[in-house]
Amino acid sequence: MVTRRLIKRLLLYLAVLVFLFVCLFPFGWVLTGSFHSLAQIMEGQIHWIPKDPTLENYIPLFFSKMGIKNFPVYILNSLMIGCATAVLSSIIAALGGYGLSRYEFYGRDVLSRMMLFIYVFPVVLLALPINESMAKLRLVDSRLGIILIHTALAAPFCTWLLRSFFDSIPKAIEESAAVDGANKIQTLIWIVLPLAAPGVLTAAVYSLVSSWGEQMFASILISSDTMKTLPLGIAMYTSEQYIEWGQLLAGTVLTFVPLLLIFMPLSKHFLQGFMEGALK
Amino acid sequence: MRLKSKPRRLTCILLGVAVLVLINGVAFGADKVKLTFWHHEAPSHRVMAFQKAIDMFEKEHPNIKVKQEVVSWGDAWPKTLSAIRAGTTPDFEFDIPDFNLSAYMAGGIIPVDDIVKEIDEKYGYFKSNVGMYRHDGHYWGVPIWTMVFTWLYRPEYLKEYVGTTDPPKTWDEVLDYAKKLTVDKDGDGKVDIYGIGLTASKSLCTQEFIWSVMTTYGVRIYDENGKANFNTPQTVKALETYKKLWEYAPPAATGWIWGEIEMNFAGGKIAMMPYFPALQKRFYDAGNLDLEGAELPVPGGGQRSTIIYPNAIMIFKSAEKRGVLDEVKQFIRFIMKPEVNAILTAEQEPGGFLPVTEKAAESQAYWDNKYISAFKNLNKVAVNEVKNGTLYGFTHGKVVNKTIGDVIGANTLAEVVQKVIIQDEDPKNAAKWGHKKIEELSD
Repeated sequence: MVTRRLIKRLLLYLAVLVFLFVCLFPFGWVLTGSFHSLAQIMEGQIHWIPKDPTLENYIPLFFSKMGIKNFPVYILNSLMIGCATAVLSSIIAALGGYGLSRYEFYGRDVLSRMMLFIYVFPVVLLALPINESMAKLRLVDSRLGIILIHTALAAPFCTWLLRSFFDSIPKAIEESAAVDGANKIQTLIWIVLPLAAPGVLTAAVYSLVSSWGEQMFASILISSDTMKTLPLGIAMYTSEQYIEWGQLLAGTVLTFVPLLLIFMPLSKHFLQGFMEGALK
Repeated sequence: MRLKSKPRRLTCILLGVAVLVLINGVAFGADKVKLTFWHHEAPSHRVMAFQKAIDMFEKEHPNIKVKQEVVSWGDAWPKTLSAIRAGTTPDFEFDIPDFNLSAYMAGGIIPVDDIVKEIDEKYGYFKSNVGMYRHDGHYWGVPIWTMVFTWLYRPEYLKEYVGTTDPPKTWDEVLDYAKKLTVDKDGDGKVDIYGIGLTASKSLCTQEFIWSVMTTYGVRIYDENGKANFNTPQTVKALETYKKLWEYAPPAATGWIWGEIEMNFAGGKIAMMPYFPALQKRFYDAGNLDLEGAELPVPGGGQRSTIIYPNAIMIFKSAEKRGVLDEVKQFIRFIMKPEVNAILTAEQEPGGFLPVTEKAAESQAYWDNKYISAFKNLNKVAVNEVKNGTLYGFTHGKVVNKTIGDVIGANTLAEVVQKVIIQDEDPKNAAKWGHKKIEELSD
């Protein structure tokens, strides 16, 4: 019995290890590759532990402005757009989720389901109409345009997620607040939102992550090099007949490191939020 | 009182600065014409070469400000077509023939007959490169530079394993060479050098490789009337040759595109291949001069040919609408001056981008470039090959079927190659399948 359980556990660990290896191998390879010289990369002489580690791929990204490439600006743009999207999505999702949770109106459940149903459609179909709408609003090639689109992509899911959280908060708490003289907005801000904090945090992190890696709309809407986000910036190091391998690898590392730095301390709350949102 | 006067003084200063900036803008900036263009050459040294040409132009034309914006090739089609629809195009954009057709069919560009004629008279276009932009009685693109496939090889490898540094001249010789050049150097049972570099991925890269063989067999995707003409004995022979050559290519190459091929050739794992001579920069920068180039091999009784990609400028309707057409033409005239054109060819991507006019090809500025002069023979071959080149679907000196962009965009030629190489189908069946698909896409 004990042996059987032990074997089961070992198999489970093995499966987890294989899964982790498959998931992490590319990241590890990119990370170690970025510390090799271009000559080593070109000759395929990449080792897990670099023999002569070098920063030659990282230095030009920060200290030499090659043409119109400006990596720090790409990071800054992604941070600005990602953070703004996170804030905006969370606000919209909090208001929308609260409304769907607390107010009964005709079509409420249909609307709620539609929040997720829109993800069934391939977003590529939206590229043309969104570009035309943004052109009419004069928001092409602007950070605001991208923030609005990223928010529109993330907010429905966040709304659905937060609604589950609000549903689980007893109405009696709000009624007590009302007795104490708080209006609806005050109740939402001071009573309900703090109770749904893990959900709000999850929604914000989800929005940030999805904005950080979004490439399609950014590539269609952004043209100026000073407006480019990280995915667009990274693409600038590749070309059909010339790939700047060293800087591409270093740039890719720098793309996922800031996100890891933001995500790792919050990962526990994020996963907890997701689980609770799904269960409630 | 003091507390109140400080913010007021600050406001006054800020207002003053704002007024000065405004006056400065009106006085010195408002009469400047601003041009914006998109190109697709992301590597840093190419961007810098563009900027150098722009800076020279702006110095000569202080009333015009030019801004380059890089759009990667992968995003070029969707971004441009959606910009045409939304009315957010730049003033002009660099393109290749099938991309130009897509922009034309989307109704975004204007004819450029006058400027093409002017440049042709002044500098003499290589005819093989201009016709690809002509249809419906007009030219729709102004060729600026071109790209060409040559037969690249490592002379030291040939010397060591074939016993000569002379490149193969026919496909049969290539097979013989490739066999000798596929070598297990250390006897560990693993091949260390492969005789030839090819690919069979579902990509534009594979289409370039197969076309470099097909064109020497005289394959034409369409006949003169624009009807599909793919299922021919020439196509079958070309596919058979590709299949035979594949025996000496790295097995993993079924998924390769440009990056992997370049890396393996530069890394010494491949001895020969049809490719752009642009690799010379990598070799030179690494201090390795073991690189040569020759004309593409031909089949017995075949025709000398290669694949070329003239890169042109298409002018958008928006430039006409904004009233900046003259300024755009001034810029084109400027960059077509042979000494300036050398910046966009030799300096921007030595061996990768080649002159498209006779005068530019003779220009000292081109040949004096350090890379070009280091690989002089290779570059002479490349410049000469520009005259012999064709591009899939553009083999009649003009556009005969405007759906070629769809055929290439759907990776039809690459799929034909995959049928032969990966699915091991009979080349006759693959040619038949390709013909049918081209017909379907042409409807």
